[in-house]
Amino acid sequence: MAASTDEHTLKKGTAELLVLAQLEDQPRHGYDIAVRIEQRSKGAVVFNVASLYPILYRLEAQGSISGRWVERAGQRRRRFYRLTPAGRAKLAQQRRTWRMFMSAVQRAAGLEYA
Amino acid sequence: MPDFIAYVRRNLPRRHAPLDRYDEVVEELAAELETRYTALVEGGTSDEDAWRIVVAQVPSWPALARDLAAAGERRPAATRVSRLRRYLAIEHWTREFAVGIRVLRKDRGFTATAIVTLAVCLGAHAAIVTAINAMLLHPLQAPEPDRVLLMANQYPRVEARRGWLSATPDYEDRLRHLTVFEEQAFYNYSAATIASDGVPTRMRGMIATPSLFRLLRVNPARGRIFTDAEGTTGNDTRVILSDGLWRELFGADPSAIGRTLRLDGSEYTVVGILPRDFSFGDPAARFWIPLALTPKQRSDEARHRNGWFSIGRLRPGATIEQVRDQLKAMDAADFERSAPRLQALLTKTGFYTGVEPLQDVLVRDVRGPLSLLWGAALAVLVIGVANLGTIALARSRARLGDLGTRLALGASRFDIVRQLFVEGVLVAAVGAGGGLALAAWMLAALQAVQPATTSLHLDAAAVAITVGLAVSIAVLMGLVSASPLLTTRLSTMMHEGHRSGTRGRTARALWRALVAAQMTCSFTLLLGSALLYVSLRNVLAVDPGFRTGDVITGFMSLSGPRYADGDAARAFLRRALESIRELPGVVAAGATTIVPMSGSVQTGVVIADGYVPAPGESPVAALRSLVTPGYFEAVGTPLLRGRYFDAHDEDSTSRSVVIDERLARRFWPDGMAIGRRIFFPMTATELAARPGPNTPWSTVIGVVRSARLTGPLAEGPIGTSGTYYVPSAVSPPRDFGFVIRTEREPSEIVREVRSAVAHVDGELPLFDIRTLSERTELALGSRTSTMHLAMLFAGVGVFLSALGLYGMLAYLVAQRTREIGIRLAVGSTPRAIVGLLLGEGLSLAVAGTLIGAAVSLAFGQVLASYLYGVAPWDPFVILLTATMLTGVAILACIVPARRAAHVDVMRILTAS
Repeated sequence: MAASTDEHTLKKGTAELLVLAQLEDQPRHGYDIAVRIEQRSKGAVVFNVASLYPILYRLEAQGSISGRWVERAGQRRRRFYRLTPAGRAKLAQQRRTWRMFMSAVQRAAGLEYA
Repeated sequence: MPDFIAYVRRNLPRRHAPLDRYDEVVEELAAELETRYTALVEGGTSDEDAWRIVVAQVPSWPALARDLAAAGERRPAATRVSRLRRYLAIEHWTREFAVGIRVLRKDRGFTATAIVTLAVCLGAHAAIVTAINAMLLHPLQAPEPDRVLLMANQYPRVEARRGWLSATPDYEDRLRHLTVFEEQAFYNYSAATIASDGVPTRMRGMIATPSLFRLLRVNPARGRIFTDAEGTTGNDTRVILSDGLWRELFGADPSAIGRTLRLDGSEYTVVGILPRDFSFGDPAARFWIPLALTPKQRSDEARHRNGWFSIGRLRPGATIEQVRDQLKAMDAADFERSAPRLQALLTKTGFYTGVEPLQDVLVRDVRGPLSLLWGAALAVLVIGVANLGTIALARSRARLGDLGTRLALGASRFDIVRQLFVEGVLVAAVGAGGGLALAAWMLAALQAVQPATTSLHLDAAAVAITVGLAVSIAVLMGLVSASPLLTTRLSTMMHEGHRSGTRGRTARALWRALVAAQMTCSFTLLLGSALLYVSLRNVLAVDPGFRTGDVITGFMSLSGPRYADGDAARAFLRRALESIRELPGVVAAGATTIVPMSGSVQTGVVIADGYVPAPGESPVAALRSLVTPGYFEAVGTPLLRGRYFDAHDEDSTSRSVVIDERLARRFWPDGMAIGRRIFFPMTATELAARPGPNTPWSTVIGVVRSARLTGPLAEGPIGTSGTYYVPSAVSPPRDFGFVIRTEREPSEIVREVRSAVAHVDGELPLFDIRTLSERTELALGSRTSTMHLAMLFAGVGVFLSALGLYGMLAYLVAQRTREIGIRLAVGSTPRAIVGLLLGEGLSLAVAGTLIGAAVSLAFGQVLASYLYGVAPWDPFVILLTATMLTGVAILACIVPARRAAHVDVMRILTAS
């Protein structure tokens, strides 16, 4: 569960970026995406199903990712999501934006260089 | 393994938030939960714990359903539609404008400057446009005004300028011959003494054939217009009043119709009242009486004694060319049946009947000044808008920092650009509103000062043009404000914000171009004003040929049956002048039919005994003035040879005449004019007759300096050849003016003069009393006010340009503080810095001057006809203007330059 309100706000702002980033190298399904985010953030950012799936569906509706059912022998079929070209562009743009915003905030808030 | 499909299906509501892929969503969520469950169990978690954890993944199934539905609904197409609907919503725009107002209020300096600049520029422009609309484009208030034509007798070989008058016999001639007109009319200015509240007052009116009102298609507000029967002698004692006179004399009483009114002692019956806004011919006309032509006026004797206006309205479908053809035919027929003498005369003068649209004639004198002033107003507008552009540019560059942050936080460029446009629209709207208010005030003030002009109210056209200009300016300002935003990358905005020194090269170039344009417009404005000023000085320096300072004049009209006899008029003049001369302080007094610069004009042909005109030379037409003894002494026209009129010339049989030096030089270049004889034919037949033993010659007894009686620039068309003066006793005038030279203040003596005159005849008012210097001012009125307005525009324009130049340099200094600091640190001196900045500013001023000079030379011709004694490319004036502009530019640059020189070097260098 999200801890404080501040963290919640930050998470909302970065959600799409986080999700898109996980699909950069290969297509994944929802659980895989959530696990990777949790691992790479060392447990700081955790998405539950109720939070993750609306994001996935929104990204898909926008055309940033596209989903496909994949059937593996002996397993329930799963929906895998991959980045579209538009999605790649969006990922790059969001990365840029966040990079600059972070440095601006650092300067403005008097933070030291990380 | 729990059945996750069933679980999800049981919990995920379908009703509240319909999902179009319900079964697929169920399958996907179920697979998700199952994968997690399996992973947990394989990791060692117990079944119950794993189930609990998995279930906790979805705290609220309805919420999830809603979120998924909302997420799925955001299809690109849907997004676009809802966005469009958003834009059209009123609440959306109200919010945008509220935000805009808030932003502008915080930035008071910018907002106030922008609004005031716009108001001044748009207001002046709107006022001029209204004046142009009223006076140039719609000078004639009648239906289909372009179909009303004016006919006039033209003598191109004698008179340089086109005439606009006709003679009374022409009326019936033209009625007979010109069938292309559906209606024709003759009219003239008139005046009468009417008792208002018991006080006899001289009032202006018009006399016209009854057909005039039909031609103008005017319906009276009350009563009726004249019938044709009332245009015949005996039936013409009817009068139509203006709305204003009706209110004044009858208190707006409807029963005024049918009552009688005394005009010049005779009784007239009121038959109609005109509408309040009616105006034709003389805007100050208060009454209208019908013109009934006497047999004398209809006879050939009256031909070519032009003093009337002749107009006609074309039939539907007829053209002015057809009128010209019919006039040519009419002139030819008249020529045929004229005596050979007269034919020779007609050929010599080049006589023909001309026709042109009445509107063209009405605007002729006004077109020049108004066009000039419109050009000036436009120049000021350009300067003002340029200023607005530069400060909008500066402001948006200063805001780049926080605008960039907004972009980063999710606003789109379009949102921000839209916001900037909203701000532009707000400023333009308030500015335009202020401008229209200012224009209305200016027009009201102008009306109060010159009530004789046609009524000037801010009309729909001026408002529409102002609104159109405001919209264009708003768009322009929006574009200018948004340009840094659209041309700069977000990274630049974020990193450098407003501290960009060398960035924004296009912005700087744009700015310099704007300031240079301002300088150009200022130069043209200054040059125009300087030329007008010099012209006016030249006009005033012309020797008028009479004194102006201590001479007072006043008009009288001996109306009524009492003065029908010439003797009575002579007696009145003698007694009145005697009384006036007895007043203390009166140096000299006389009377004349042509009071200098009063607008009255009478011309006559002069034939000199023994003078043989060169072949093809046209007859000499000169001003004819009837004067009493004492006139020349009073008006101060110097005597060059011979003598003035005296008591010998108060006889009706006198054959003396005084001529001015121009006539003397023309006829007798040897200088021996005294004792020579001249003759003035008063009718066309007399004109054509060969001088013989029966000719009533007059003898020249004196030669005086030529006087500019009709105006300061009386090189005009009338009386070009000079003036001749005849003793008034010969043909006592009923309408004349007193000319009195006094040692006292003219205003002191007025009352005494009035009572002296009233002593002789108490019923006749002395009216239009002014000194000759006042008349000169009036005659120059149009020229003077044009010059003042041009100077006002130039002043405003130069001030705004100076402001623009100052602003640009101040901003430059603020931008390049760092660079300046470095320069100072490495050895430059403050003086060099000042020089550097002055150079920047002056280079723009010089560029503006050069371009302005080029523009002025190219378009100088436009101004030429309005100037006097100075050419539009007069090098001295151009140099003077250039110097003035450079001086102003230096002043504007001084403050920022000095500030630059005093930059704190240490502070600059130690700032990171």
